[in-house]
Amino acid sequence: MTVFSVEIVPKDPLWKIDLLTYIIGELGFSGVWLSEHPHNRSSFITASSLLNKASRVWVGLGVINPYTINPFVIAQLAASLTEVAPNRIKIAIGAGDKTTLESIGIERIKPLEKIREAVTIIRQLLTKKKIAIDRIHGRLDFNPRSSVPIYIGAQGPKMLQLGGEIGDGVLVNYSNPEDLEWAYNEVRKGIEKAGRKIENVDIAAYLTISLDEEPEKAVKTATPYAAYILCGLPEKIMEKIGVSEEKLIKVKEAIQKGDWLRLYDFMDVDIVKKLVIVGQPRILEEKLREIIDIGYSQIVIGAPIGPRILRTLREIKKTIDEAKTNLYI
Amino acid sequence: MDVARFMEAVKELAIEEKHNLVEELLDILLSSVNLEMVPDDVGWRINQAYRGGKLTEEEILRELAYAVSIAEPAKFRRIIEKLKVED
Repeated sequence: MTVFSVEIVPKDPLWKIDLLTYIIGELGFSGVWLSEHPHNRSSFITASSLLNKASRVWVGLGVINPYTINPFVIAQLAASLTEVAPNRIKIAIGAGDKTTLESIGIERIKPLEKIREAVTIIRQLLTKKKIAIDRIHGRLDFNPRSSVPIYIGAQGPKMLQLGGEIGDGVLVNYSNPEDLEWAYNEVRKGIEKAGRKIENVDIAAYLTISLDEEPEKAVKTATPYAAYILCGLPEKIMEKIGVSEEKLIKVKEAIQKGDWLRLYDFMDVDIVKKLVIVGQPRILEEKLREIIDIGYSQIVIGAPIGPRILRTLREIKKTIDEAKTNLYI
Repeated sequence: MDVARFMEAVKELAIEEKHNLVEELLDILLSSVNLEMVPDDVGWRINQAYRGGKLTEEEILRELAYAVSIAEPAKFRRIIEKLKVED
């Protein structure tokens, strides 16, 4: 059984995020993932507000990185949210976007070790255990009201394997079925290494989607998202996409300066199409079929979704329902 | 002024046309990248009205039209043109 959820980027006012979450629940999606980015609204604060009102969907926070928020504090925030809405919180931990972290003065050191340690700390605190790792010690002085599944947000092979090894779930940040198949196998290596069962790990394809009847509009909407993805790609995928080092530097500079107009000069349509599911809505069904066949247990309909969000969400849900009727989900 | 013209034109619409128009306005609003320009209290009233199935009510429709007119003025003008509103 494949679960479908939707990503919301908390860059817009709370009244919109709240309404969109309500509509997503109304359409029958299982949950929403709130992305976390230092330039946007806090995903934790936003989640608290949403969970107070929305009763149909679960809310996932992710991807949170332990460089900008201390793991002890991540556990404290997640545990606090269980009091607002027990059993409706998920969190995803990842290394964060290197370019963004550098732009706020944070150096991303030893990401694999950092994530492993962060997950250990968060999991122990959420199960009311006392922490004593190196300089970090203590416990939460209140009881989380429910468990909180911890996902790992991953792109590179080692992080994907770590996700399979220690995550309750893995958020795999690719959209191309070929890349998703490679990533799924990397997660599986980690699962096998840890002697776990694959059915006990929720492997989610965190897709970046931009759909519209006018494909050029869909591409325009997708371009800034594709640029962010491009900057975080592992070497293997970067080589396949064929982006020169010179172009990559220009894209990174444009992101760091927030110069979106320049970004459109550097991001070719071909690059965007390799990183995002982009085009007319009818292309989605075939993509979903391929991704589900790989074995993914959750599909996240990720931002930007399309230049006309409401119409596109309704079309996506219709596509999913028709696919269910065709008995391949 | 545009909102007043819009509200005049809406009076002539059949219920289904009005419903489609509201859906289009809401889609434009929720897709806008300029929502910081919309006052929060207006946004929350639209939010509550959607939840209560009251978006086609006159006062709320006026607020929705106002929100679209400030977040997406060019798109709002195109909607008015489609409604063939005369000055």
